[in-house]
Parts: sequence; structure tokens; C-alpha cells
Amino acid sequence: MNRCRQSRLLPAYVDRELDADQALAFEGHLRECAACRGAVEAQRALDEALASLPTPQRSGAGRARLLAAIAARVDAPPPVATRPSLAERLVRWRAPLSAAAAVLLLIAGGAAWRALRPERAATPPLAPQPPTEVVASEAPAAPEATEAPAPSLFATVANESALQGPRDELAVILRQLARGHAAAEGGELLTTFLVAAEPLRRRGVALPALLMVLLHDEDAELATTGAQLLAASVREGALRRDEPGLIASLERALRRPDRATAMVRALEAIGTRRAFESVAQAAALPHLREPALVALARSGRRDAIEPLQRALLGLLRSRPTDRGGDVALAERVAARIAIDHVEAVRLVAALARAGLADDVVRALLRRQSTTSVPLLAAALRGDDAAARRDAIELAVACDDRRLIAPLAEAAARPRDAAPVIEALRRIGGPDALVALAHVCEQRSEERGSERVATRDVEPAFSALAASLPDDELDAAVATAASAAPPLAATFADLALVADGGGGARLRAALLDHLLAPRELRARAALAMARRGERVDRDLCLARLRDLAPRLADANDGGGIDADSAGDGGLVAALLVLLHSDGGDEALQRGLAAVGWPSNPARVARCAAASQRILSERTIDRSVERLAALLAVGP
Amino acid sequence: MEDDRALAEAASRGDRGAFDRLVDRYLDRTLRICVRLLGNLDDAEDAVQETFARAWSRLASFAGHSTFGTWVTTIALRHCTDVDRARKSRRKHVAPLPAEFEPDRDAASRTSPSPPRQAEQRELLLNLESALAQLPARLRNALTLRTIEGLEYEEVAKALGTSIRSARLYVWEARQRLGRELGFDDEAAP
Repeated sequence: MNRCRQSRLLPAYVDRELDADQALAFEGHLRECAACRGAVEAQRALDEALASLPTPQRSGAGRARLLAAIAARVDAPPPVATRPSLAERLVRWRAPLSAAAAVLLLIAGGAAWRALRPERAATPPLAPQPPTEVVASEAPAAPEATEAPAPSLFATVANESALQGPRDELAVILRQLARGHAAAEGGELLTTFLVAAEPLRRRGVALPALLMVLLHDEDAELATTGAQLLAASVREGALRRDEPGLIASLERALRRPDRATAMVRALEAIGTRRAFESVAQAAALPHLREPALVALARSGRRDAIEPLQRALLGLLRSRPTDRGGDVALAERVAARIAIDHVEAVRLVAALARAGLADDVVRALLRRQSTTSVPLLAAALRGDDAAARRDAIELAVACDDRRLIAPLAEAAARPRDAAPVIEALRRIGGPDALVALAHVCEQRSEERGSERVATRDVEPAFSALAASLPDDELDAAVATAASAAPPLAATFADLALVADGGGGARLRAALLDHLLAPRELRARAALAMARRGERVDRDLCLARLRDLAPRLADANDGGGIDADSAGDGGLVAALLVLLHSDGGDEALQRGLAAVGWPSNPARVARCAAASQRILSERTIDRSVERLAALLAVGP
Repeated sequence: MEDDRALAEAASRGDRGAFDRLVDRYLDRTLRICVRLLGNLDDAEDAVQETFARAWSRLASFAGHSTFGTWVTTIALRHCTDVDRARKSRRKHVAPLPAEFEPDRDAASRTSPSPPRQAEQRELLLNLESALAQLPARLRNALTLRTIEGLEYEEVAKALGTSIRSARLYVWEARQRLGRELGFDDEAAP
């Protein structure tokens, strides 16, 4: 047990939370108190052990897998309370019932029926429609004529005169449903309907066919409920999507504005190509323009793209007098586009080019980033030039950092370089430069030639560097310097050959970065010397002063030796700069400024090296010579 | 780079892209914490998934009183504590860390301690792992966040839902217990 009164300061001291004065005073105490000293040593040993614990991390594929698993969890719908599924109930409806289930259903159906009877008496019967008239009214419209001439359920219904009674009964049930279950949707509505209509089913009535007939009832509420039930029946498998006459019936019904939207939703539920052709045609009807276009937009279907694009471009290019309303409609519809495939990406790009507001495009892409980002990335990496161009345009609006890598890959394609550089600058900034170095590294491995890879990537690298401000270049150097050595080296390779003002500033940043590996800084200095680039004199001197103590330590206090390896290259190259700027005198002043022994031999050697470098025609040879002279690798 | 607060606000309005960026930003730290608290990678990855799924579903309740990172850490800690409690009640043994999380052997060889020294270090780490696993959850959580993850005491306190003073006490107590367990000099006490 430590009984020292000062030991109360131990936790803060161990945690390095004492201020400087307190820490100094406590360290004085430690020199005298063995107990506290022992405690500190024990905690330092523990810190050391804790620091050496393995550091768990996932990288590469493992990390991507985990991210995907998280995305799947986030996207998963919330769990719902367990109850019999609608499919199970449908099976009960469609299959022979067990005795118990039949009894239960009969009770339920009977109860519903009893509940409906007074309503039936109070409700005027539906206007009788001769069955033959129904068939005539369902004569297929032009597109429907192409469907196979299968026996129509309507014909069955129409020819069954005994069904007129059931039809009225069904109408009563639907009215009741429409009033009592307005809030119910889809499966819930269908379940209630199936229970209520069970007596009809038991009398052999084909309910789905009757529903289709009722779509044309004068009572819009009835027709709308019928359409909702029809859609639910299709979704739950109680009605075939290719039921003959089904689409034609909906097409006819949607011409009446009082029920049109429900019919479009039923067509959406059917979801076949033929159904969406009908929706596309419905967009021409004034009362259905918006619902039909929205249905196409959110369908996520490839075959909806073409009619949708035609309609939306028409709206965006409409006459100036109509423009306000049309553009607003186009924006509302565009905001609902499901970005599920590359054609949808192309559609959005075409709309953006046609003047769709940036904020609409941005919101659309970001809201669906789970699909839009992978699609844009795939298009950027693909061989389809048009898709790549679209993806480059949209990448800026998407502004997702996951696009930096694919954009960097696209930047290495000469044709795409100009627009993609702008996208990279806006999304990635400094990270984009490092991403380009990564692409270069990958290509170098693939092609087995660093030179070829560097040649491919350098134009984009130079252009991007030229577009970035100094602070972002500094940040890029910092990121590269802390990256894995091969990537850092590739980054330096590109920085050393980068053309234009960006290259010079990047080399200056590399030279200036304290954490950059010494070899990289030396190479930057060599490249600057080789190119005759000027760096700020104060920066040079400050840089050399920064280096001096560390180099002095490395040389056992002997100061900096320009002949030594590593930093020698840097030192000499900087001296070359000084010399080329002001001759031997400047060189001597530079040596004095950083406190180096400026003996005549060293001055002469640096001056000679400077002259050689600057007079050499062949750059590589000049670097080789300097390297040999200073024993540092190029 | 967008700051966490802006991203969290966007995510709470349903922006999945913003949430994905936050996940990307805090994935590694959360995984490290979960591995440290649960002792094996499989459970830790499950915990990380659960943590971010909960974060997404509860974004509306994120009031911004702490940073997003601290908030997520709080969710992770609570979940790990629940998992740990359930596991202990089933008397399950904590599986050893998988090989991929073993200390960097190359790094060890670069510092080139002698083979007996390596064996000692290995034994020390195993004992430390075991001692950490034996600590009460609140002490282990506090020590993990402060000493291993390097969080400030204010963040540790927020993540643990306690005061800064308590967080300091937890960390110190955890240190003392580990020191004793590992046979370091345990003469000191505050």
C-alpha cells in the first residue's frame, strides 16, 4: 500500500494530465519517493503492454464485406409481428378447406354477410348492365389486339346470366369495404374482402373476373376499391398478371378521371411490359399525366425509361408560356426515378443536360446512393464511353467519396481526362491525387512497367495538381507520406515528373513536408534542381535549419555532411539551388545560415555538382551523376 | 471533408449516403472496440453491424450533445455489455483472437528480441488479454476507450454515461487491477 500523500497525483501524472509545473514538481518527488516511483514504473510497463496488444483491423475485402453487411442491415425492413401470411390465407381461399377452417370461414363470412344485409337493402341496386354489353365494352383496344386469343374470363362472366345476382352482392361488399376500410391497403383489404366474399366463392363465382367488370361501374368509389383489390390480387398471386382482358379493361377504365389513378396503380401492380406501355400511353391524358409519369419513374423498369425520357424532356423543353408548370412537374417526377440500372443513370444525365435543376439531381442521387454510387462506379470503370461521360457528369452532383477511386481510374483515359479532373477536384481534392497514385501503382503491377504506368497517369496527375490550392497539395503530400511505402513512392514518382505549375508546387510541398520520408524529400530536391525550379529561399533555409539537429545527431555531432547518403542528397540539391541563384557567395552564406562548416572543399564540391547538373542535357544521367557523387540513389 | 455533425443531420433526414460516410469513418474504431470487449472477431463484427443498424434507426434521437463517434461508441458499448453478460450467463468461454489479429510478427522481428524474450512477451500479452476479459465491464470499457483508443476523458464519460470523475476512477481502478493481475509492482494507490 502506497501511503505517500503525493500518490493522489499518480493517476493524473500517469495520464499526462498534470500541467507542466505540476508534472515537474511531481517528477522531483519521484526522485525521492520509491513507492511512487515504483507505481509509475508499473503503470508505464502496463502502458507498454497495452500498446503492444494486437490492433484489430479489417482491410480490403474483409472491410468491404462488413460495410456491405451493415448496409444490408440498415436497408432491411423492420421486423413485424408474426401473424398468418396473406399467402396462407389465399391458399385457404383457393384450396379445399379443412372442416374446421370451413366452419370458421363460414362463421366469419356469415357474420360479414349478416352485417351487410341491411346495407344491401338500403343501397340501390347497381344499374343493370346486360352481360353482352359488358363484353362489347371490353372489346380490346389496339394494343390488346395483339394478345393471344385465350378464352376470356369476361366472356365466362358475361355468359353466365345467373351471375347478375352475385355481381350485385359483390358490389355491396365492395361498397362496405370502400367505406369501412378506406385506410386498409393491399393485402389487408384483400383479406377482408376474401372473408366477406367467401359465400360467393362457395357458390362458384369467379371473383377476380367480377372485379374487372366492376372497374367500369358508375360508382367511382366502387370501381376504385375494385381496382385496389385487383392490384392486391395480382400481387398476392390470386390473379394472373396476363389474365386475358385485364389490361384492356384497366385501359378503358383509366380514361375516366374519377377512377384513373387507381387504374394506373393497378397497372403498376401488374408490372408487365404491356402494362407499362399502357401507363406510358396514359401519360398523354391530361388528368393522368403526373400519376402515370410517376408510376413509370418509380417502376425502376428498363422499358419505362424511353417513354419517360421522351415525356420529361418534352416538359423541360416546353414553350416558355407553359414552362413554369411543366418544369415543376418534370422535377416532381424526376425526383421519383428509381436508379436501379445504368439506363436510369443515363436518363438522369440526359435530364441534367436538358436543364433539370442541380438540386433535384443531387437530391435524387444522394437519396439513392446505395444503388446510384455502385452504378456510377461501374459506368466509370466500364468501356461504354457514353455511359462513362454521363457518370462523370453525375459524379459531381452525387459528391460521394466512394467515387474517387473509379474517377481516378477514368482519369487515366486520355479522352475523359478534362471533365474527370474537374470531378475529382470537386469530390476528392487532395485524396484524389493519392487515388491517382494508387491507380498508377495498380497499372504498374498489371503492365509490369512503372514507366508506362507513370506516362499514362501523369497528365491527369499534373492537371489535377495544377487545379488544387497549396493547402490541398500539402494535405495530399501528408496523406501520401503516411501511406504504405510503395504508394508513397509512386506518389513521389508522379510528383517528380508532374508538369506545369502544379508539379512545381507539389515538389515544393514534398520538400517541405517534415513527415515525408527523407528519400522522397531528397528526390524532390533533386527534381527541383534538375528542372531549375526556384523555391522560396526562406523556405529552403528554414527547411535546412529544421533538418540540421537531426542530421547532426545522425552524424555524431559532426554536423551535416553533404557527402553522406540520404539527407546528403537533399542538402546538396538545395545547395545547388542556392548556388545557381547566387554563385559561391550565396552558397557560403547558405552554409553559414544553417550553421554548417563551410570549408572550401565542400563549397567547391557543391558548386561543381551544381554546374554539372545544370549543364547536363540528359536528365537521368545528371541525376545519376549527382547520386554517385553524393552516394544517394536517384 | 464534411464534418460529422453535418453528415449526421443529413443522415437523420434519410440521406443514406451521409450515413454511409459516417459508417466508413467510424467502422474501424468501432470494430476495434468491439473486438477488445468481446474477444473475438465474429462476435465483434456482429456487434458492429448491430451498432450501426441501431444508430440508423435511432438517428432521430441523436441530439448532438456528443459527437457522432462518441454516440456510436455508446451504442457499441451497451450492446457489447449485453452480449458479454448473456455470454457469461451461458458460461461460454471467450475465444482467442484470430490469427489475423495477432501481433505484427514482422514488427516483432524488426525489433529483434531474443527468442526467450519473444516468448515472454507472448505470455505477457496472453495474460493481459485474460486479465482484461476478467475486468468488470465498466472498468474494461473505460480502460479500452481511454488507454487503448486514446479518447479524452470527456468522451469516455459521455460514452459510458457517467461523470468525468467517475471515468477517471474507472480507468485508474482498471489499471490497478491489471497491474496486480500481471504481477507489476502494485505498491501505488492514489
